[in-house]
Amino acid sequence: MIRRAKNEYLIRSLDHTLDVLEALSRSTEEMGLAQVARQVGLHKNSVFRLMATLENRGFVERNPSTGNYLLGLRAFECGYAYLHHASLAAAARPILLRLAALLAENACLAVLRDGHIFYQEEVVAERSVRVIPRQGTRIPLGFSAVGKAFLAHLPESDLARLLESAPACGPAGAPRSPASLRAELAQVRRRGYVVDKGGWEAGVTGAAAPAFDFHGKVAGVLYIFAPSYRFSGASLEKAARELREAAEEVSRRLGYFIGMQPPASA
Amino acid sequence: MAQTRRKKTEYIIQSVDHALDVLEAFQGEEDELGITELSRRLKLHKNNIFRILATLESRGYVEQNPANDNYRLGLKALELGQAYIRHTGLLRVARPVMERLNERVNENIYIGVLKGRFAYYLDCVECTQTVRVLSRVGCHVPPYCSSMGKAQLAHENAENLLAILHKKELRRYTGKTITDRDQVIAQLAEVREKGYAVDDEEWDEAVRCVGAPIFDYNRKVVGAISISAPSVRMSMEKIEKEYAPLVKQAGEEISSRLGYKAAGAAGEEGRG
Repeated sequence: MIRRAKNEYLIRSLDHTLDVLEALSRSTEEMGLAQVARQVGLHKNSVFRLMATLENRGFVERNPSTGNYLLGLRAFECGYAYLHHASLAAAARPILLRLAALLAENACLAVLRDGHIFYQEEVVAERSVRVIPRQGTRIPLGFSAVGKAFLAHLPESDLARLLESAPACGPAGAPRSPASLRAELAQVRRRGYVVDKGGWEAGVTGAAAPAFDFHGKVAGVLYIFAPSYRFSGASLEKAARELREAAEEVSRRLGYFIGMQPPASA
Repeated sequence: MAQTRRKKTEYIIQSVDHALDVLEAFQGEEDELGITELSRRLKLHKNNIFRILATLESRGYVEQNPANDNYRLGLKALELGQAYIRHTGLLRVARPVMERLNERVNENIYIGVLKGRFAYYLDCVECTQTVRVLSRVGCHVPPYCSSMGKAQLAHENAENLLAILHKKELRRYTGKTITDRDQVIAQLAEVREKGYAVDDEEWDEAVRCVGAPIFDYNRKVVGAISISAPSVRMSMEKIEKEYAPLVKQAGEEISSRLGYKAAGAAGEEGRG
């Protein structure tokens, strides 16, 4: 309703300006005036004026040798102003709420502080049988889904140090070889999420997926968990997929984007 | 400013120009702004601001906070910034070199460019240490108090230099900022000779940086790379003995990937 009302106030020239900026932003190379005009479906004269306005303010630049247009430094600054204000909690909160509502299960956001998992945000599902999250319990990183999601993306030197200091036994007293853990972490990286079926606490099944910041580091981990009988087979799979998508959405909001990774051969 | 603007810009579309003002207003300290505040700052009618925001919102460049009706930047704004980065060939080429340097020293590695009167931080490979300097990506600093800026200033001609350092008495940021333009210019000669520049707590009291220029195939300076660290971990001695040679080497490597050949190395046609 409000949306439609607002639409009546849109400024055409501004709308076209954004078309022009987006055409430049999609293109992998600098663009000539005619090319931009064709893409946005406007007359060359109009595009010229829009470009002059943008260039004057540094939102686009011109290659002096070709006269073609490219995005300018101002566009970069504007984007990064978004990042300076973006906080993990603010980016994750609406997405957690949506995820919890969609699955009707608990969802939370975990961060790593001094090598320990800390739950920063929690959404508890409104159901009669529920798992009560226990703030402050210290679970060895290598034994929980959340921990593994963090470990999977640590630099090797940090991982080695953590494994040395971490307890080698799980709750059932089962020893854990670094090699088997490493194999599991490789799988986490491939799949984008990790499932824990009662491995730490009997009767509780959970899944965790990492969200990355714009440096490509794990900013936090999204975690969903439920009594095991509600999270199994197809329902667990569906939940894990939704979880991974939610984590990707948080990453996107934090400025992480795959396109920035350098070519492997460079 | 207003003069050059008017002259060059008979083609400017005012409503678009105002919209860019609105977008830029979000680059300050506050992350959210209301219509009244924007109207006051930009001296535009509230109705006008409302229409600009409605248009920007419909395209995802700003979003409204449902809790208080204020506006903040939207994801589309970020995408614009990221597209800029993606298009900048320098960054693609520099990234692997930055990563390698970071593995070696485990401190923040930056790449930046000089534009107008400022040095802009475009990309960073962060260190993994607990104590680290907050990332400066997306920020700009006066070039005379940053190693990255000085590394580039050192190769500007006298005319440009005076345009960038447009006052004799430069603004002070810390006790160590060099505020006398002549003294900065004298230091730049030394930077040129050594091939690297140092910021000895001149911008931030607790941070030192060391940077080296990057040249392209035209032998033009196109950017600089720097190592930045809390002063407690990076003494001046450590900079000179260890980090300066490393950052210089990294700058040379990026330059050679951009097709730069040092004056003495002509004739070597090897492709890296």
